[in-house]
Amino acid sequence: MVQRSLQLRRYMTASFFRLAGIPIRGTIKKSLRGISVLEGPQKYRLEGWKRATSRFRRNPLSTTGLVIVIGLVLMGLLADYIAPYPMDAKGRVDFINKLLPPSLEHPFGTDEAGRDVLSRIMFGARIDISSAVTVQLLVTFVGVVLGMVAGYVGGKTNVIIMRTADVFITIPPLVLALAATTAFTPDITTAILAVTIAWWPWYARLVQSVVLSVKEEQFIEASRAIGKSPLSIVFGDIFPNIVSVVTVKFTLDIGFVILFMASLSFLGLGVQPPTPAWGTMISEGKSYLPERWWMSAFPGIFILLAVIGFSLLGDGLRDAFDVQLEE
Amino acid sequence: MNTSNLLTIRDLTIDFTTYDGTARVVDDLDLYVDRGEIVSLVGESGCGKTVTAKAVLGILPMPPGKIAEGEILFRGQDLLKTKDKDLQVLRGKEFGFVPQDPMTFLNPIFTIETQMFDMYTFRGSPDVDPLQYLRSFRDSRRRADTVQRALDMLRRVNIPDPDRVLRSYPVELSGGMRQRVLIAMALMSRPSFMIADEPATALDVSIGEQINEVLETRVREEGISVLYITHDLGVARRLSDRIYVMYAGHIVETASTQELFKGPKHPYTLGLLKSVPKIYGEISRGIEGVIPDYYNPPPGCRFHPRCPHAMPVCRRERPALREIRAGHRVACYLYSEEKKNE
Amino acid sequence: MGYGSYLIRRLLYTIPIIFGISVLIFILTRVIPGDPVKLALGPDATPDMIAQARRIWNLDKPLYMQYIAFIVGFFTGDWGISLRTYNNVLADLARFAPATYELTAVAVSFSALVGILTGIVAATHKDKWQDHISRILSIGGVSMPLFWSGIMLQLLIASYFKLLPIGGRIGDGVTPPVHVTGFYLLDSLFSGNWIAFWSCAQHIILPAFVLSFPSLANINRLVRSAMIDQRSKDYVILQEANGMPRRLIVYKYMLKNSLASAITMIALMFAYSLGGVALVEAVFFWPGMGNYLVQAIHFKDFNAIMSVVVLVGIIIVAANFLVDLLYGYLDPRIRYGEER
Repeated sequence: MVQRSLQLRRYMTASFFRLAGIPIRGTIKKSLRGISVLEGPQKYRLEGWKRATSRFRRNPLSTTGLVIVIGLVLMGLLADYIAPYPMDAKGRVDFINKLLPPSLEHPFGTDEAGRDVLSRIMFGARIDISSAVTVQLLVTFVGVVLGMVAGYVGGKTNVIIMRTADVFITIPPLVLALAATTAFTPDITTAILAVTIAWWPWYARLVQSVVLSVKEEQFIEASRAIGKSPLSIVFGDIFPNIVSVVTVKFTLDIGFVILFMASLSFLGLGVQPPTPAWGTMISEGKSYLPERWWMSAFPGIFILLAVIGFSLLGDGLRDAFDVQLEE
Repeated sequence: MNTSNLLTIRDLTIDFTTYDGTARVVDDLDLYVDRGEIVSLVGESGCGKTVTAKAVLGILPMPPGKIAEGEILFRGQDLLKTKDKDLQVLRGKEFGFVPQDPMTFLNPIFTIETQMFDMYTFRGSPDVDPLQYLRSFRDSRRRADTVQRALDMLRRVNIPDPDRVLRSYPVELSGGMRQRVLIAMALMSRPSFMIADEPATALDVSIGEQINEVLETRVREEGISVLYITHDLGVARRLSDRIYVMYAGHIVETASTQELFKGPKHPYTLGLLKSVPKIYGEISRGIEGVIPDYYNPPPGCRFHPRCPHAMPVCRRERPALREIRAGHRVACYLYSEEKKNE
Repeated sequence: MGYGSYLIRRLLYTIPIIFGISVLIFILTRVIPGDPVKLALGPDATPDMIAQARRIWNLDKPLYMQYIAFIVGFFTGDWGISLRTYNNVLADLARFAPATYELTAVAVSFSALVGILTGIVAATHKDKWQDHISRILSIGGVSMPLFWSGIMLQLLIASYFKLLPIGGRIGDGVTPPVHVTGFYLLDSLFSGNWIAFWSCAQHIILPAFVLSFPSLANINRLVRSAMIDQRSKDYVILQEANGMPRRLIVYKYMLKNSLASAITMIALMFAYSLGGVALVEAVFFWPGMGNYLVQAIHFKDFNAIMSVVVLVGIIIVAANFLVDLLYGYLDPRIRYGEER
């Protein structure tokens, strides 16, 4: 299962959107292999910033992703200023105006405590995005460290680390995260920890395979022959490769972590009410279905938007860096 | 060139468009194959010979590739103007293809028997619907006949134990065996025309020779016309009736085999011959320079940067293929009247 | 070399995985600050009752002994007693697990079938409208929160258009079929109980569809990608050059070559769906293991949690092994020991 999973890793780590067949540079070059036209050198690593940004800008989808992400982030940051009823996200209740359908004063309606749904969604962006980024930072740290150790040291250490990762990966991520919340009282910190526990193995695997493939490249042998110290090899040669790959996956996954954490919150094991997080809001709104649909409907749209935005952005980054997450 | 030829290619021009620009990989190519003859298309890697073959077979990837000009006539019918469906039927009934790399051209997850059976039974059919396909399994006599035919064919390409080979998967066979199977697959349906794309190149020299031998014998026997692609003049000499020498997308010289080796004229042909190492002699020198950049080809004759006899006119205008003797054509100013005017 | 040793190696590999899972979950569920028994018994519990309860649930013994007790119990059929329901966990699971597996099985089968078919269509009509629609739907499928799409569909189809029931596994007032497998659909077929079958079918459509959506999207994308990949493969080019009809090439040769990665993806999606099913069960009031697990977690019911996760782990490992088997059958290179 591991071998084939490694094969499938190309489909899992490679973004879904690349699978969606959005044409990229590399595919054109491949079809020329039938004739041996003089090709430019194949670029596999981090390129100059100028070429990267121009390539990024050329792709309308990645710019869309960037726009969406910036939009959501700004919405969260500026929530205090742009939300019509900022106090609704900070504890104010107004039972007179409860359960109002969408209108001009309340574009997304109000919830069971009379709070404006739109404002809460805006403040929710803060919570969802920042907690997702926190998870990503933790996971990246753990994954990179373990992955590098496993890849570089190799041998038994590699086997132990990778097998442990396998055990984690076999359990469905949601189940694992749920189980991980058992030990503590459900709240946002627990959720962050739980998701980290479920998520880290993918990063460790990715980093380990990058390290392994770079290690095998001949220039490392050459470097060693010249007498470069191991540390300088690690930082000079291995690290830049890891940086580009991890940055792309980091960005790509933020959306999915938001989704994941919202799932936890929906089940009551993540962000607790009355904190406005998108998943929690959907769960709260569930009891008022089907007549008061707006409480559950609108936060979900934002989750959807976030996932799409970050995925497009991550894809664009990958194409810009010309990073090969697949062979 | 008369139109009773089996295959006639005229003015064929093929472009490849990529991010780096447009490369004209085949320019103004003229070629013909007559009934029953074996014609070689000789040139080094990258000169466009495989592209030409793929264009004839209709398997050129068209998004980056584009046929800018020209016609490919098979029995008078322009293949480039034929609809895909009709082309498929034609290919099935008349064409055979022997590819270069036996490793990758056989489907690894099906047995030889399945592949040969399907190839023989269904090639040239306009389309197969599922019922038709399933029915083919029930007709046991037809099945047995086809299997016999396959075994027979395998024997005729010198495979000693065709039974075992038929039941095997490609992974169990050696390169030479796989290539023989591919030849058998192509021959089984009695094509009238075959294209062989460097069939011996990917194999060991001795095996390659056997392959060429077997191919030649069978083809001569059935009177199949062949366009044989190779980079090896020696092989071309042994197998073919006529030879086309190609460089950077152009035909630079063509003649009957005898005529060509009696008196090769084009500097490139001469260079190729000199490059062949000889047992008794000097280390071959090869030809100076590299193949041109197809995105920005040199003006005039594409060979002039490497030609020891380059003249000013060569840099200006491409020489046309000119007949200097019966059936022997060269594209070089050395043999034309213009030279005198310099 | 060969098929047999390949399978045996795979089989042997599964044992440390399951073992590892049990250890992992054990750590996660037993290392709990606070006293789960006290929580479960409530505020009126006397110290005596608490101490007694602790003894029953083995909490007075050191951790490693608790683990050994669990392992022994695992093989003897005693998976502990639930802190919440006071039943034998195995009995609880026997009640709830079939519901979940039925739902997941239907969902994954649906996503596999439709995913493969739509993937082929998308690949053969690359860059045409079929491809674009398929792409948009797939992007939606992966990006949508399962619980949200469940609620939305529930609203639309069940509440608004009243086409299908809102939730539950079988209609109120319809008696469940005689228990044979625990899979209502199969059981009702076996006993010829058409009323039950029809009711169950209606109830399973919506949750299964919702659950299948992300898997469908992934399988569709994978099959499309694999088929497009195949198109540039040399052996396909050979068949084209020799004039084989297009449909035969696509549906027999290209498809089978793509199947290997497809079934691996299907196994992966099965595992993923066993996670998402918890969300779907919550939305559609489906009485399955997912709900059981979530409630167990709220209760800190460690025996239940552990048993559910280990059971899920076993099923996933078994499914993967099955895929290994199929994989070896599909790709003779594995059998003959050629390294891919």
